[in-house]
Amino acid sequence: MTADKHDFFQQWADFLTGAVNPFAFDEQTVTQSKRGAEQLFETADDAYQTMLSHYDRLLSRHADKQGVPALDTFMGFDLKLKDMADAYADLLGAMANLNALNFEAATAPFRCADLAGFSPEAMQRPFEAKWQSFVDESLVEMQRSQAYLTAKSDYVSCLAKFQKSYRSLVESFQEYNHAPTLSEFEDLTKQMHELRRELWALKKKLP
Amino acid sequence: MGAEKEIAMNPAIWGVSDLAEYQAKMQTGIENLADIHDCDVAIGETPKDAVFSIEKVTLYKYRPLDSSCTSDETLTREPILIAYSLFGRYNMLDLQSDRSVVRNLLAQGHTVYIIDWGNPNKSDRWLSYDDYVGRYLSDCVDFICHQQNIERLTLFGICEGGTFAACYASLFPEKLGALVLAVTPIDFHADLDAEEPRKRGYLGGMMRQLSPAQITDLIDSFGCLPGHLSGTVFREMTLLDTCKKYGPSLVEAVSGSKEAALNFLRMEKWLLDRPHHPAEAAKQWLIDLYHANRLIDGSFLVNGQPVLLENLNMPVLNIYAKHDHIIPPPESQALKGLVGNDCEYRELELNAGHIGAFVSRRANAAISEAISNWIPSIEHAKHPPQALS
Repeated sequence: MTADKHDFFQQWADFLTGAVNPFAFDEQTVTQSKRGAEQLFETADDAYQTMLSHYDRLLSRHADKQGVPALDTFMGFDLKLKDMADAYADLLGAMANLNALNFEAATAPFRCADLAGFSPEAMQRPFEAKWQSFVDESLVEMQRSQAYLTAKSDYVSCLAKFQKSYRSLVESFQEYNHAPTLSEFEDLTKQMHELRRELWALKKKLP
Repeated sequence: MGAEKEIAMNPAIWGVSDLAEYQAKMQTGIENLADIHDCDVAIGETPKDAVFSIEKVTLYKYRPLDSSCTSDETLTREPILIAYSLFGRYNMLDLQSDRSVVRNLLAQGHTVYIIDWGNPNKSDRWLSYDDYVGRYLSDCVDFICHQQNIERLTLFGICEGGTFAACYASLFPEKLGALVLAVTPIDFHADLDAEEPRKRGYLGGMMRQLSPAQITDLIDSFGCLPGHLSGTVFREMTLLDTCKKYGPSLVEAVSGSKEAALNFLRMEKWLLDRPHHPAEAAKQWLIDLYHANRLIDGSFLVNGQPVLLENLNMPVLNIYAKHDHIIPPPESQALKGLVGNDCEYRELELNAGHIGAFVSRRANAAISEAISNWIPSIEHAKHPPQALS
């Protein structure tokens, strides 16, 4: 890992401290919590990229030498595993972006609220309902914003990419182990579906 | 926040009396749940018989509430065929005895049929609207007309089932004496101009943002539109309510009377039982309809035939929910400007949400009464329809 282990756990602590403090709705604490989360992901991403670079160097250590054939020791399985890992990392990033938007929208009413005139009597049911409606409105507005739609679009693409890479990996395993794959199953069901429709149409023509 | 303010606020939130009350509620909730068994949470219990099936689809006919009466002998109104959506189970219409659109219709002497679309899985990924409208719905209508010896019946479609029904009615108007649609989207872009964010549909916005390639990729990667994925999307539409429901409000929900706890559990049972949506039909729903809005301009095809809403010449009752966050009312109301000139068209607005329209007692009763009054007499069903002009 490129980051110091102590720094990594400190970043976790900063993020958790910010997240669990029930009154941490002021701008500074929310920003601190977000920064902690961002740093956390940067450190995890650094570690992951370092691991990948070691792996790439291992695979390509003979690539510079002339006349040495490219090795496919794992029959492409390792590259599919790498693709899936990359897709999963992208998916986690997309999910984090969405969660950050949700968190920001949920806490915005707190940061904007005027807490100077607070009193225990104010914390009664009608006030709670009012406060909840502020949060609800904030979330609804955020969900219709372009920032959210863009983040959601990114999430959908990452989810599809991850599912496809996972399926490709599983189908490799199935092929090499003489088991039918989902793609072959879809081929078969398509033919069955077309036959069923033909049969239905023929039955309709019968007197 | 200053320490003084923190101290001042804490007793108000965690006052001793509030805590005691909360603990008492938790205790009641635990006692209620301990006394409830799986069989108590049954839904869709009104007796019915499977009368026809095609592949995974089953057509049920409900038994009359008065078992001594055979509905075939006393058929005074057109039978009604209910087509629900593929995104949930049909038994929401028969959630429990006091919140059942089906029972309300049976109580008024109607003959009620309902379609169960079955449990699609990846082997059904190639099913499309050509199958659901052109084969399954068509065969069910033909079966009922043959069984009851009539020319026409009343078709009642809900949500996506309403879109199925509208497509069928446009292609085969001569087969229907009346059409009832509930919370059915027709113009999927009608919410675009709404100024209030809440009045713009969540689904519509998302589908307009995604490209057809993205939607296709997502559905193809799963081999279907998984029920848990669509369930997650529905839950995130009301994010705060979802968090509260399974958080602070959960104790409230189960700590009332045992009957109130059962009501909550039945609703949850239905909400969490989401079937998978066949892939090709899901692509048509999300791409052709939500993204491209093809239903309103006649470019949506079923079995190669364009669906022309101007062919709707039978009485149409269009029910929508004022607080529907899934299908904003303008998406349903758009039908008014698209039906044929000869169409007797009426709207009914319910002061409820998308599901509340069927499970809240007041809305449930209103919907049942409106439908009951809309169904034509049996004499109407037995005469051949007039030729389309």
